[in-house]
Amino acid sequence: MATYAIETRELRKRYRTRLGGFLRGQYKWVEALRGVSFHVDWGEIYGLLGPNGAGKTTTVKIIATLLEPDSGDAFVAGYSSVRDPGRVRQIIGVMLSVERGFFWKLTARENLKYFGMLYGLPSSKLGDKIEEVLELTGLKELGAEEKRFEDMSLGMKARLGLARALLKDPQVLLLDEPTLGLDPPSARHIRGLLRELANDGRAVLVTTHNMFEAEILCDRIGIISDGRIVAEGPPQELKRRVSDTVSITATLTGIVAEGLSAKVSGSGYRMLYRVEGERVRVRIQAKRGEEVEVLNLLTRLARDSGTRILEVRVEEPTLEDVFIAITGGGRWE
Amino acid sequence: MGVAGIVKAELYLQISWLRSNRILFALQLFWPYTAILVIYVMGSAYGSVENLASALGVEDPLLYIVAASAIMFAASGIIDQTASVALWHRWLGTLPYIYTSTPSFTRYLLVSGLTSSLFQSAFNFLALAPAAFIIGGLSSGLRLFLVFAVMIIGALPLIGLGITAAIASILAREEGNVLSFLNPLLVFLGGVFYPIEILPRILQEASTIIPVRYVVDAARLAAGFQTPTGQGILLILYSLALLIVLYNGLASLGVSRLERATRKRGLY
Repeated sequence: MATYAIETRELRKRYRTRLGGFLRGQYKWVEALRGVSFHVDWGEIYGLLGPNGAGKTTTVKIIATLLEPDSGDAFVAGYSSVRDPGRVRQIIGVMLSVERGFFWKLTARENLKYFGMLYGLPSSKLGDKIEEVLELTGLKELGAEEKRFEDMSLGMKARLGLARALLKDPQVLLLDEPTLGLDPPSARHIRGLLRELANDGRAVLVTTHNMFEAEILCDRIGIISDGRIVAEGPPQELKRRVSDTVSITATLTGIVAEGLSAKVSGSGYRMLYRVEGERVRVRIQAKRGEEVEVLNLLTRLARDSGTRILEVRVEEPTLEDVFIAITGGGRWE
Repeated sequence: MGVAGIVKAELYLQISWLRSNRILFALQLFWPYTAILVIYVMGSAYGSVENLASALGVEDPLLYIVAASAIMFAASGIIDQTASVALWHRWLGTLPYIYTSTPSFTRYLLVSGLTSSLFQSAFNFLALAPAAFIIGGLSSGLRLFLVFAVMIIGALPLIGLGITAAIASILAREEGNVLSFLNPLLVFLGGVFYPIEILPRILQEASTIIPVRYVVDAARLAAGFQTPTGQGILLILYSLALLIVLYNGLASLGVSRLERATRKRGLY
């Protein structure tokens, strides 16, 4: 049997979170993962797609040996992250947060040199390797190699994070929201680089809550919601599941999104919404031919709640519609 | 990642950090002298520094002031360095990357704690050496060097405690609280600033299991503050050896469980 680059089997994890109390703390158990199973092939980019709190980062941390599951196991190149963490660490390159994880007062080159030494790269090769990853991630082109981490833009920090992950020449990359908050050129550069790395035969696991990114970057996607993988497959295949639907997207202002969501659901439609500052972006899923009905409903609800519709569009199905169809919609953040 | 790799990386980090923090560099050279001021004020509480010196049974009160400061910094330094290395990485967000760079996090803590502790001791020695030379010439400078050498040996029993404190700090998610509790306790029961004999009997008994006490005694003997006898030195060495075995043995039993517990809770 061929060994997958990454495989998770029935991962379960609960957290105890403190609600309050001083002397006698009050706690609540939160089920972060409820049996997550998937695999990633060599040379594949697999995207774990889901809203915040769905369990994406917990899954990555378990695979990266930073967290032990309550039950189940994760395997990297056949080695167990629970029983053989040392082996797993030799194979993986990890990038967890774009904004943190480096020494603020050190330059990009100094930071990479420190981690290179820690990874045990021989001195004779370390300099060349640092130059290679600086070049590969575009940090050299941006003239950022001698910039201190504290003076870098978010895009530069993300590239540096990726550069560190590549220092060891890992065969498996685990990247948690690698393009979160990045400007479009930086995000594009990172996506391009990840594709090159996958073409070299490396396995790449990315988590994202950006559906557009998941669609254009990933070979396969696992949609994770409430600690479960609720759908899995190549983006095009997932979208075929909702090919008989259309989506009415609208941007509204000055509205209580939860109330609107409940009323739309009450009318038999599913809605996904995202609060963006003072505005709310909604996406209502409907069967083909029901567009006018949904537009009328939206107009009526907006009028009743004293809000304005700034923009409205009818769109072909995307991954968002797959998520709506499977989970019933709700808030996406 | 081998031991040599960790040592090289930690030294590189310490030097790079100081190079890019010039104010911190200057302050590090200056701050050991602030402790001298504290001890001078304590001496005043005895009436004069000479009275304090007499109560402590030392020959040269000024040299004592310099050396006692050095003892204070290094006595609990190894715990502080080991645990604060872990906390520092957590605050910076570098901890997960350190953790995934090594097959054994405990080994990383052990080696990096020792390296940064030695680096800090060397730095303190360099900061205090000019004062020692000015006060007592070459012999005082050499004695100060001896004090540091003794303290490094004396710090070994504490490395296990340092690793335990480091992992407990990460596990407890209470940031520096573990250190805030441990450091004053070690300084208090170690007799850094006063003779142990002035403490109540029960605290004197408790101080016998605190390695800092022996480090302080050994450092005083090494500095020639009291008449060193062969018996005294042997007693100190035996006590330190015993504590090295005791503390590091206990730490090695507990540390793997603590590391596992940390992975259960998650490393951030």
